[in-house]
Amino acid sequence: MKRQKVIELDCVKTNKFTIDWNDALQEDEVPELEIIGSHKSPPREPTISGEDPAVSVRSLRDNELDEHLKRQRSLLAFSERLPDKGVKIRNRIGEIEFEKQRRFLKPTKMDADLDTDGCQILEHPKSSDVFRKANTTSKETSGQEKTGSKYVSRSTFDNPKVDDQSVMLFNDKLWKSRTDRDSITKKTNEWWSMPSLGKSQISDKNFYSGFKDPKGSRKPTETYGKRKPKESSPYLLVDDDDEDDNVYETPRVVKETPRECKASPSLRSSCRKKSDDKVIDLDEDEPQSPVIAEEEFKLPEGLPEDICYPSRDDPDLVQVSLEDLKCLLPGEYLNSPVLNFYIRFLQHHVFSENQTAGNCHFFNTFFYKKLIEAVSYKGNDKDAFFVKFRRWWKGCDLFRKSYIFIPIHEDLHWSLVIICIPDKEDESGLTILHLDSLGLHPRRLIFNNVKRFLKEEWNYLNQDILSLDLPISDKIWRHLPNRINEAEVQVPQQKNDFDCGLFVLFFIKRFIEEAPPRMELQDLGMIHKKWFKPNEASALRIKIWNKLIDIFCEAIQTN
Amino acid sequence: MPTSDKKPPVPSSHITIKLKSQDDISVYFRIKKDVELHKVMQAYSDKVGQEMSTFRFLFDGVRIKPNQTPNELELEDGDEIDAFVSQTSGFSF
Repeated sequence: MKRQKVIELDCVKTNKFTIDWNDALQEDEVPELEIIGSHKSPPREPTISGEDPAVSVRSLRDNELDEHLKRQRSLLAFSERLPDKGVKIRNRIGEIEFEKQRRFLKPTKMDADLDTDGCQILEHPKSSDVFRKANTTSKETSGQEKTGSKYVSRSTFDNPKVDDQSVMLFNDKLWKSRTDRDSITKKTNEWWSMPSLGKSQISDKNFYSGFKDPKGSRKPTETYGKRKPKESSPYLLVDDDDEDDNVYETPRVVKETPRECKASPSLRSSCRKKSDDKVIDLDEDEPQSPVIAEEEFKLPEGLPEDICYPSRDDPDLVQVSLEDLKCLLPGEYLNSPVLNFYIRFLQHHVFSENQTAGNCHFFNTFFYKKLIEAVSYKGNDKDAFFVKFRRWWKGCDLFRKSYIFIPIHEDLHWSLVIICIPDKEDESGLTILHLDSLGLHPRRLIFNNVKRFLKEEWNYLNQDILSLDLPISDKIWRHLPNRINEAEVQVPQQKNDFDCGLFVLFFIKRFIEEAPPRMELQDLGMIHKKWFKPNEASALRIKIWNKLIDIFCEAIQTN
Repeated sequence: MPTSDKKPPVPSSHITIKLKSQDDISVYFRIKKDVELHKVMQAYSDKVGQEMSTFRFLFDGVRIKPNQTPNELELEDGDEIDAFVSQTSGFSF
């Protein structure tokens, strides 16, 4: 452990590192806050990719990152021959793309130098550079904003390598219904006018997934998702046997016009079910026509920076910022604030009257990390450590619940664990379900961790419970660690690479809607591969978007 | 006379808390119990070189509000605050 010298935060300027404690004590003045040391654990074990992504990926410059990505992708061609079928390489690509997105959202000093050259834009056909340039253009010449963005668009489109989807967001038309041009100029700094790297990544990913454009052309009015296989788009939702149109909602633009879309008919229809003549182009190098598709994802003006749900005073609030909303744009990866929000929303709004939900416990997305920490803790004070960990579900008797939900976040993927606790008369034991819309997470390991967690909790309770009222059947309780079933359930699989978070939320929603008050083994059949249509889970994206926009709008009024 | 390195006894008005991120960077703070915790959050963020907004600070699974104090949260000496970064998802086949 590396100990550091004591730093007094309050008097850094005058007395940097040496503190005369004698003096300080005489005056009976201990600073209100000081750092008294820090400690970094030894580097983690190498990740599956063989390198520590946090170090290696972050240390790369933007262009190096691109090269790296290219190299990894070229390796992917040989993935079939590798023993792991290219899992490592894909992980690596995921890490690099994640890093790219991270940098894009928060440009680091490392790539700041790219911003300085005004000509950079034409030489660096990377969307991030293009738009950073765009920002400066509009900032410098707010009066000429229009020209600025046109310039960007044109130069971007001229370059075949640029991701046109990103550009779409920037096109003038996106803002056409806005009356106040100046406000747009100001807002070009904000994410909603920014390109979304996620989409370009996705198209890149699909680029190597083997799909090829059969016709080599595209319709000019196609919307997002056009580079993806048709089923990738959450809004096109082409499914021939799918009749339930009503599950789809249109994104809310402005509160007063919830379902009216000002887009042209062609745009409208493209948001809906669309005919099969959809052309999917995966060829990145092909010049593409500028299209507006995300018009509907405009934000009303004057929204607050963030909202707290259920309220600002709630002890267990979730906070969602405008920035977080971005992850609900088409093709984006859902992030934890939005997941945690929707779980709370289901709990407090959708299922506030639902009896099953009332007897469920919902852990937040961070819990599983702590669970791993707790079950794998090796220190002598293991018991004390677990007692501290128990505060995560303070006041809640887990074994008296009927269902416990644990969202799992690992390797940039979301999945869900549901622990089913039987009725007191039922002697079939506890059941752990793992619902994974890609089958990506290591099920064995997750089962193991959750089992160890339940065992620890059981151990702890056993110290006091004695002959008290047992939460579950006495027979089960006595041998609980051996009475935990692992159910191998199949679930509907996502047809794209970005909807796993929505699937987790949809699993929760459907489960509560359909599960009996207490699960019995024979009820497990309700969960199967065709439990619901993947489209239905994908459609949740717009529903959550609309809900959040509503809440943001309400926040304006209360302010 | 104690050297400058030597720690003074911790007055009862102060507690030592640990802020820990998921990649196991821990920073120890000594803080007065009635000081708002955003000071700690800010100091931690500065220390690890990140924006404060990138973190979700949780104590026992509950989000800490910046204006809360150790007293309000009933923090005790040696307690640990988790600094989680926002998780994101989506992965290719």
